[in-house]
Amino acid sequence: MLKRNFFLKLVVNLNCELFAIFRCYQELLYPLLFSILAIVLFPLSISIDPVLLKKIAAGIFWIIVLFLILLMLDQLFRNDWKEGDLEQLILLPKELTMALFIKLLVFWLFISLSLIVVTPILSLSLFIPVSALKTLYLSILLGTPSLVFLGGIARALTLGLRNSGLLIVLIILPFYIPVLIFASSAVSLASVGLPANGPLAWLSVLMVLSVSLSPLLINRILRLGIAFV
Amino acid sequence: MLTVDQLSYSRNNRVLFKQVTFQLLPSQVLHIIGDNGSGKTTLLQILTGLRIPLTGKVMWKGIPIDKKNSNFTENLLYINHHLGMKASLTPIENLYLFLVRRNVVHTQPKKEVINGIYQILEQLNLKDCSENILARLSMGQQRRLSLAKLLLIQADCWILDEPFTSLDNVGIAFMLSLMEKQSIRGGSIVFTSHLANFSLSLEIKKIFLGSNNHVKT
Repeated sequence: MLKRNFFLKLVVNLNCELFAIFRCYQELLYPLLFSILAIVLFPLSISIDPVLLKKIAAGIFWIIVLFLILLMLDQLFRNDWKEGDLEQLILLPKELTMALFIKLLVFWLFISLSLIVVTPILSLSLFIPVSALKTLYLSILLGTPSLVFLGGIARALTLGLRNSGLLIVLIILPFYIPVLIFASSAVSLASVGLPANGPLAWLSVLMVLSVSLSPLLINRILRLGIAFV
Repeated sequence: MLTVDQLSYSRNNRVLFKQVTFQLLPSQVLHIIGDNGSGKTTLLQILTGLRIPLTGKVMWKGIPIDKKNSNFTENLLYINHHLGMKASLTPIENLYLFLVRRNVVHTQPKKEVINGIYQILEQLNLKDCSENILARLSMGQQRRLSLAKLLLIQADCWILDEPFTSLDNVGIAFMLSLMEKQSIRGGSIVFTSHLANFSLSLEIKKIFLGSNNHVKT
């Protein structure tokens, strides 16, 4: 009985969030377009030397992905806060954690799906070898959830502020560094033909920890009432 | 039963209210009156538990609301100037989500629940826009839609922030009849409004939040 109810809530919440994000995705397209352009323009402005690009490609790719998510974070929870949906959820503490998890999950789905679609073209323009494409995809799938779910914590802390963009970056950047290091080292190892299991394993550890713990933490933060100052 | 004990709050080094104390029994209606910026909304946010007061406490049936008081959260309906729903969903989708979150939907099929929502939208004269997303509805229609929540579930404590704004005369009359029904049912209501007099057949308690930092009861 309880389980059935749980799944019903999960499905209805997920449905509504998906509808909501796909009916107003335009706000999210700008950062995406910006980062695609940045990656495409990089080889044009430096040089089209494959040997040089092979060395720096992984780093460039992941720095831009990190910037993309930092730019996107400003939109996370923004509409929910503006419309008062989040306020109503805070008043229902039992529902809050699941709703937050679904919100973050849908936000991540939007980012990762769009990244996955454009990755082949981007890797081509950065001369990342085809043999490393599998590792690149794995690093996106394992790395971006940590970035989004950790970013949710910073977003929740700055929710009541008018100009939260700068503060989010300052709060969250130190926590993004490990993900950046592991993800870009995995891709650069794979592009020279070495196995990248080590960094990928660390990425999945970070993912499991952040995905499971951050909705609980955001729940606590929101219920502290610091957004209402 | 809502008990408020010696509540005070200050913002920007200005005392908004000091030592507000009152008790609201079942069936009682409380009207908070005050100028713009006198702290009406802030007081309501404290009553819901969203905002933490400087001193004092709010209790529901003798238990402080800041503890894990699920009896209070299940019985609370808070409506303010926000939509409280998603602007990119239709009224039907929003109200269905609302019911699911409130644990009202259990085993009955979705069709039945949606039919119930339709009937309430018809009562509120919103049937024509039940398929439009909320962002396309007018201000008054959005306000009217927030009344649907009051009809959909039975909650013992209504906290309403300016419930009469943007409503037409029919809407205001409807809102007043809802409040009468709630009071007869044994629920308590706290609301704010600029209007001082209503054609309500109920006894209304009043609290004045003055700009001179005095609280009169």
